[in-house]
Amino acid sequence: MKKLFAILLVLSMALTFAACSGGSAPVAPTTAQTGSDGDVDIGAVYMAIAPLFKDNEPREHDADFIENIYGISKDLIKDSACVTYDMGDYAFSGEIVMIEATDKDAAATVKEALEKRLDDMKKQLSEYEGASIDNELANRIEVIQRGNCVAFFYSDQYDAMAEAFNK
Amino acid sequence: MYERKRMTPAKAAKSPKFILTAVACLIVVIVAIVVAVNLPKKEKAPDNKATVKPTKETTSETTTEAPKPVGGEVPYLAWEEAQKKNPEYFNEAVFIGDSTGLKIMQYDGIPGMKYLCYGNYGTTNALDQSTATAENGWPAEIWNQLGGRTRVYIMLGMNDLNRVGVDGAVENMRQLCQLIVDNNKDALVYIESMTPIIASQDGKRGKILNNAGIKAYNEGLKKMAEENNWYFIDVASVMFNDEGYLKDEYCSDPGAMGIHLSNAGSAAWCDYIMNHCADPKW
Repeated sequence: MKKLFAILLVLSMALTFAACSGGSAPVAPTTAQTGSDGDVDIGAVYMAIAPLFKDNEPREHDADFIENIYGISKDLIKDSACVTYDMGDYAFSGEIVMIEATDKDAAATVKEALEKRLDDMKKQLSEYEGASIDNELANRIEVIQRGNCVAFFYSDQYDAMAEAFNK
Repeated sequence: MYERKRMTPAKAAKSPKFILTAVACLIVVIVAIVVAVNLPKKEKAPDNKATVKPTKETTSETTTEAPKPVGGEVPYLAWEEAQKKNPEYFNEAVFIGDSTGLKIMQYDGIPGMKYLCYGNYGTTNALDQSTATAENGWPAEIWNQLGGRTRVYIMLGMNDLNRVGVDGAVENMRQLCQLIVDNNKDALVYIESMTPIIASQDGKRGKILNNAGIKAYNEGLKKMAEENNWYFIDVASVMFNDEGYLKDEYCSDPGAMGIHLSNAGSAAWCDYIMNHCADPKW
């Protein structure tokens, strides 16, 4: 009986030490460590949508442009694609911004910045005489997020671009 | 035969050895729990909100003013010469514009230039702090948003002419430039002439927003700039076709407003700006 009780006590101590050894309960790996199932291959999406604007004098922009225009720090960006192009009779140019952020928090910041950009455009266009098609477009589109990737397509080809991003 | 006495459980629990063992184990378990509870927690990742906040930095102790034009001519330098005198020239520059300016901003043809361009923007709503608000998508007190930049290029007017007329738009530009100078030590003002409208849309954008109104406005801007010792950059001069309209290839929206610039138009604009650099120190 004594032996049995001693064995039980030893087992309980062993289990207690095992439970304490990690410092906290096991958690699922973060997206920064393993990548999210929702992450997007920005390069592949860019190649898929490029035919939609390649004949419209696209201008590619770097991370400096993204920082200057959208206020998104380069430190938050793991990968990006940014293009503006001529959309004909629209007052504003087409804007394509796709950013893979460094982690979940960075992605939230990126999304917030791009939503502000869209929100400002809607406000500027709301009473802009002669820019009714811009106004309609701005009110139709949304900033899209998948995992740590965020996309902003101010484009007359929004539906096709969003579909490519969400595939 | 000696029979080993077997203790009852009750007696076993009272034996000193058992008590000591139990107490020792209990102490170990308690210590283990206390250690586990007090282990350092994983720190939350820092908030990486990115912000670019304009500051009201001043960079120079001396006050500079644009030189008085000599016979109406200002000694502009092409970029090739200007960058030898000051390679940071456009890193010190900011461009304030409207939706035409947005096109130029997105063309991004002047390295280092900072852009403050907004759709439907003009001197009228820039001065009116009841409308220049975040709620309307425009910056409040744009003269305090320059981020320390001292070369202030401005091209506004398309959203003012129908609202306040030619004289009103010129006066609004004067007031805006004065606020810029008053609130930014060492600021140099470079007023641009407003670019024209394509032939097919001329006369369709209201009573005054047409090429005749734009021509009168630009003449007023030039006179006002000279009176105030501010630079006047006649960028519109390279935008006209032979008939005095915006060149077809420079227009991105011929079927709509007919005033926004294509990449070719933006390139011509950037080329003119970069080849008309001016500084009173030169």
